[in-house]
Amino acid sequence: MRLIKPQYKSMTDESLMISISKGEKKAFDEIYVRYSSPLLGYFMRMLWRDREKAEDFVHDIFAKIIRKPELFDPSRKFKTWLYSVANNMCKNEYKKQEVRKNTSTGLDGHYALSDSNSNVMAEVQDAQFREEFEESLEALDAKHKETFRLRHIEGLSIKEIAEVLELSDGTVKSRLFYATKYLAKSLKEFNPVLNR
Amino acid sequence: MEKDIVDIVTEKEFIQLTPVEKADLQEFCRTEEEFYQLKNVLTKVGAMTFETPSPKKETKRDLDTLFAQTYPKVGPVWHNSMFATIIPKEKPFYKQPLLHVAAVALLLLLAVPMFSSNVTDKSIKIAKNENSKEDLAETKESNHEEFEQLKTDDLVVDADQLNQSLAEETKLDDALPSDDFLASRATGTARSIISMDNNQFSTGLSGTSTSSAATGNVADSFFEHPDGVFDEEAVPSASMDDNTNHLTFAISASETDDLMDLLTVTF
Repeated sequence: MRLIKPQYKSMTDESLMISISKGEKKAFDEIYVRYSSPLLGYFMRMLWRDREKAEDFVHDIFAKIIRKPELFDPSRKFKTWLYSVANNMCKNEYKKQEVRKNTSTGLDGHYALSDSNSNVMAEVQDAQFREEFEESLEALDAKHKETFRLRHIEGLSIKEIAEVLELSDGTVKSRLFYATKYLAKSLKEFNPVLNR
Repeated sequence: MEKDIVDIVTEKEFIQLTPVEKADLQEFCRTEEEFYQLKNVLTKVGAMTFETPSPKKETKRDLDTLFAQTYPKVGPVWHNSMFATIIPKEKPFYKQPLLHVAAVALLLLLAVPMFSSNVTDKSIKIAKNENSKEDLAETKESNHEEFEQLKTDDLVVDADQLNQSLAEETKLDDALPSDDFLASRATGTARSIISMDNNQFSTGLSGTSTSSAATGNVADSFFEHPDGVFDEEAVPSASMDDNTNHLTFAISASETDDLMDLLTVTF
């Protein structure tokens, strides 16, 4: 019998994964609380805002954690490992969609912007910017798009992105700046300085 | 930490850029216009909030089922389930029901004597001797017997001590010249005058009957002086110190040499 209850909330992701491999349900619950929402958002952004598909992907990635926790190398950082798995799942999905694309009208039908009912001018402009931004980002090729998303939306560092995508730091930086430059050109009309 | 180009663009103005930073940015933005385009996009993207939707409850439920299937627990038997209830593993020991029950039981155990004692009963309790009168009489009698016995023992001890001292006295007397000799010597020295209180004398020599008799003889022979002369001034005064039992004679030693010899030897 354990005298002191383990404090799962203060445990690191890596320690929680070790506990999960021992069958500790509470450890799994803690990991789920930490990453289910960010992963769902990531999948939604990566998979054309398809919520159902994103939910399935979240289920699949956590099922993988339950079934084969040994796949995780404790020497690595869990977050980068998780996002690399998620990224690979998205890549596989892209490949599937590529095959279907030839027989369907494309993926744009899945795209949906979030509602913005505000009448305030600034908020409208922000909403317009967001719309243009999303369109421009979608127009980017996959490797630049995912790099940009991981950096600016998921909040990963360049080093972590390099780990997730199995690239060098320099390549990540290069991709990141290419994407930024492209977006800057696309969103030129929203530049308040240049529009004065 | 090396500063990222993104940080340079977002934090600095174009005119604040150093030649080194400008060289780094050369590939991405050559002009001021391009620099501000980048800056604008990065600032706006940084300010954007991206939704973090929560997954459906069904997703979590399915995963819980999968977890239970993957890590099945040992089937509970009655004592396992009882222990699981009173000593749940997931709770720290101080939160376990068994400890709580034990603490309450201990408190009750300690509190019971406090409530059971009748503190309101203020009736005066007097100590009562439950022994019967006969017992008391017996006790009295036995005490009396013990007292008599002790008294007898004390008397026996006193008699023994007396006999012992008498024996010692007798030994001393044996070492002295005989009474007749002393009497004769005393009578022979007619000029010797001894006056003493008989009572005091006998008291002072209590237990030394031999000496008393001897002294008595000396006194008798002294007062039977044929001349019947009684010189009051010449009568020696004798006193007995009660504390030390020393008999003191006030008599000229030069006049009564024999008596002085006797006295010196005796005392």
